[in-house]
Amino acid sequence: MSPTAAGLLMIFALFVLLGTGMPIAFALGLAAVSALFFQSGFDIFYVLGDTMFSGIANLAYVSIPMFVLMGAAVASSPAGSDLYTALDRWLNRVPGGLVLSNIGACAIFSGMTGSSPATCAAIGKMGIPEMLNRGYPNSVATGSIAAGGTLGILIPPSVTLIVYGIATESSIGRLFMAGVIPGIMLTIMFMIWAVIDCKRKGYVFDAGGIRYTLKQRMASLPRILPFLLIIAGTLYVLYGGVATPSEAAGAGAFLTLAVVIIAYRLFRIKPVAQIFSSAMRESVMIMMIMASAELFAFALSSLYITQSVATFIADLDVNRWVLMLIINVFLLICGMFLPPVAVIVMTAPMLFPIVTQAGFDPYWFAIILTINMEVGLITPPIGLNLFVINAIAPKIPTRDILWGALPYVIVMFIAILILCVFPDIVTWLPNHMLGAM
Amino acid sequence: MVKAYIWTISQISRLFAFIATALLIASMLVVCQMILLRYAFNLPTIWQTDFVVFAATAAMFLGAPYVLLKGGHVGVDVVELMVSAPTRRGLKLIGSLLGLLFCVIMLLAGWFQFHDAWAGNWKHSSVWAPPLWVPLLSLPIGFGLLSLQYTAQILSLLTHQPQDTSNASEDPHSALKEMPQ
Amino acid sequence: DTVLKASHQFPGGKGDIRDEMVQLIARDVAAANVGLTIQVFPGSSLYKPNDQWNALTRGLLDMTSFPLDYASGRNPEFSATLMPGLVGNFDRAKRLNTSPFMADIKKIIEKQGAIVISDAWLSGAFASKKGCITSPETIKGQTIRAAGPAFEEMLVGAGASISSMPSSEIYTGMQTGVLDAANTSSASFVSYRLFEQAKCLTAPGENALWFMYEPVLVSKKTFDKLTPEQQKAILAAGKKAEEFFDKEVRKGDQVMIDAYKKAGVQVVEMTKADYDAWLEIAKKTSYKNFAEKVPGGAKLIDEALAVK
Ligand code: NA
Ligand code: NA
Repeated sequence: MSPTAAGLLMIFALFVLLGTGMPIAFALGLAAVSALFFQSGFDIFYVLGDTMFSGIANLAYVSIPMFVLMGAAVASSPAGSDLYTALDRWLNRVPGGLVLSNIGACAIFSGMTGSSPATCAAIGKMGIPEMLNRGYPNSVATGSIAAGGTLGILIPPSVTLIVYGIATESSIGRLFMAGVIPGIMLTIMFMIWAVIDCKRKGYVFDAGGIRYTLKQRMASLPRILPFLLIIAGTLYVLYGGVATPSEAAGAGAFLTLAVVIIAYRLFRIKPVAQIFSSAMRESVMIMMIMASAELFAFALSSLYITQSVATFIADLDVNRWVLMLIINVFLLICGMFLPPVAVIVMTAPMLFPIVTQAGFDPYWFAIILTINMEVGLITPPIGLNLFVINAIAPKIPTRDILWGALPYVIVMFIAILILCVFPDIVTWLPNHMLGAM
Repeated sequence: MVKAYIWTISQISRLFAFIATALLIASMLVVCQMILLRYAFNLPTIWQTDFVVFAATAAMFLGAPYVLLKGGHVGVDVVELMVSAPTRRGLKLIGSLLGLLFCVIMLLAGWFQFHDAWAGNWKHSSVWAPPLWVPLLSLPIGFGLLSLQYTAQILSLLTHQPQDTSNASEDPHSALKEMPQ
Repeated sequence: DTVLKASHQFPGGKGDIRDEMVQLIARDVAAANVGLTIQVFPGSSLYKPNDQWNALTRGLLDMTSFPLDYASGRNPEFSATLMPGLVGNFDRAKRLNTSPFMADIKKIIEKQGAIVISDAWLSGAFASKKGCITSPETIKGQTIRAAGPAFEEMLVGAGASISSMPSSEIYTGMQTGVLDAANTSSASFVSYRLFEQAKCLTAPGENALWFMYEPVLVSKKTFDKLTPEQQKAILAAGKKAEEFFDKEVRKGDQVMIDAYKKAGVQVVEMTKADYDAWLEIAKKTSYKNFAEKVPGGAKLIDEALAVK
């Protein structure tokens, strides 16, 4: 069988398996194992365990559960709602102020976790009901949270940048730094869209009833102090010569837990156990998908599919920007159907040489790739953020969420375009802080 | 009988979830200890990196059965949402059988891996050189328990027994009821 | 046509000498016209570095350029091929290849199910942002990322602190100050651009502590299935690749030295006295552990040290 035929068959099998609703992790794994079995027979059983286990047994990957734990600590404590309240007090007079609070809260929360679904869940749990209470339509309430949540993987720390770093042997510390300015830029672009949209539709609900005095506003500030402390502390550990990025995650998780437990006096077992339990569940979900994606990537490579696709793309002999466009479309399609970590595990090692060969900066490409993955998080059929919103607000039809998220997808496309025209937005900070590559 | 089986398996999954969580906490604490030793006291660290990597990795496989019990492994619900309730049940059954198939395959593969490491006395190649069978044991345990958990899920589908958590079988959105709250 | 899979962890098509060795073998075997095609999977695109040994000895992987020490968890004797101070320089490495020491190592390789078709010893260096690493005293109090457990043992014995991280993090590590120094292969010293961070480089020279055995291996299961012509073609290609490597690897060290000098980094070498002082520490640490833990370990060390 030719690599092309084998590849199409494998992907078809994957779709059929996914269609049954079985877990993505096991669908990826079963498709891979079947393909490998047809290629190599029973002997293949001797490398499956190795491939899955060593696929995730890596010090850098340990930081994924740790960065998830950081998020869980904040999300499961009153810290999240304090952050939200403080932002609301400052922004409630702006048209669509509550939307801005949501997006801003998502961005700040992103600085404390590496995961987008976690960001979405943490802020959405408070944000969506509050917006609906104040009369925002379903689509605005859910769309902004779905999109704001995607910032979780762009603003460091980021699970996907960690995976990219390992897959391409790039420095994770540098990748994190590359995400900072694009993350802030995308946050502001989301906010601009929210203001335009709310102004256009005349949403002024919040400003009507509630007014906060300057004193009330100032009083809300100390409450966000713990967050700033956590972010500053983690950054210091990360870039102050204390620890490697992989280790900083553990220290960050410890610091976050300590701050949250002390600041909110969570001295009982139950709330703390809840934090750990939810962190464990999300980590397992992510890491099992990753381990299976390693298996899938191994099968693709073993059948020479990866290499054939890479050769095909490399031989296209087109202008480098046309090449970048093709790669983006390819990533968008992958991102629609698979979670970000799976896409990166399977495509980054293949695309990385092509992209660097064409003269693109690997750190710049990491950010372009990440924004593509953010789009995938809010597009059907598999969009982790959509699932989260569905779980938080089961009564809101999926159509409304999609409709509300769509404009943000367009904003992300614009962001990609801007980064293509001005790549310095990505590379300036790492080059400035860590020296040019 | 069926009810007792389902209950027993869910309790074992809980036990291993507890162990997995403990391993995660342990790796967090060891990372901090390692940073402290090196940064504050300039002391060499020998076993910490290996411990952290293997504890966290093993935790993922040991925690997986509990996450399955709680419906926390995300899947695609597009088809499920389009079909009628009886078809949905059938689809769920097929999905569970396929999931079981994968877990059984990995149980075998994981067992081979573990057994080779045990019989060959494989060590991790580092200064500490821990025996590899210890972390690799998480493969057969994790996938073995996943297989049992799947069997419980299939039995509960066939006998219309609810699984012990209210959110596991019928609700197509169950997957994310358990997302970080 | 029989298709063989060759895998390694090094960047493909970028002039990495180990990649070029495998590519050369693939080309030669194709040119020999014996019905054999070798697919090369560079950059860990098929197996993870540590998983290659298992796959190779089981016949699932046919060929690999493999740092043998990665399999030392399964065959502890292999640690001797990444043992501080056992090699010294390239000329001695060549003499080592035909010594009883390597005969013993190759016997184990073969028993496990693999065949060496090209010998290759990679040299490595030290770099520091604090001061030049020459004698053991110079490393006291420095935090270093070392390549290989036996090196870690020796460096700790000399009073260094160890920080483990992937080589891709060394740059940031030195930049932020997590690391003071690093020890890795010459190729990595160039590709990771550590000259931007280092103050002083200790080049291999005549008294190099760090050498690593990275042969090209073929699975015995695969090899035995081939026709005599095919076997001959592979062995011939392997010999040619070995000669190619021997010439190129020395140039690689010069490329590193030039890059560091150009960046204004001080470049030094260890003297014979420095080397001997390190050996004394190694005897008390890594050699001692090796001899204690590995059956026949002491004999292997003695055999290696006995080579002129
Ligand atoms: Na983040
Ligand atoms: Na999607």
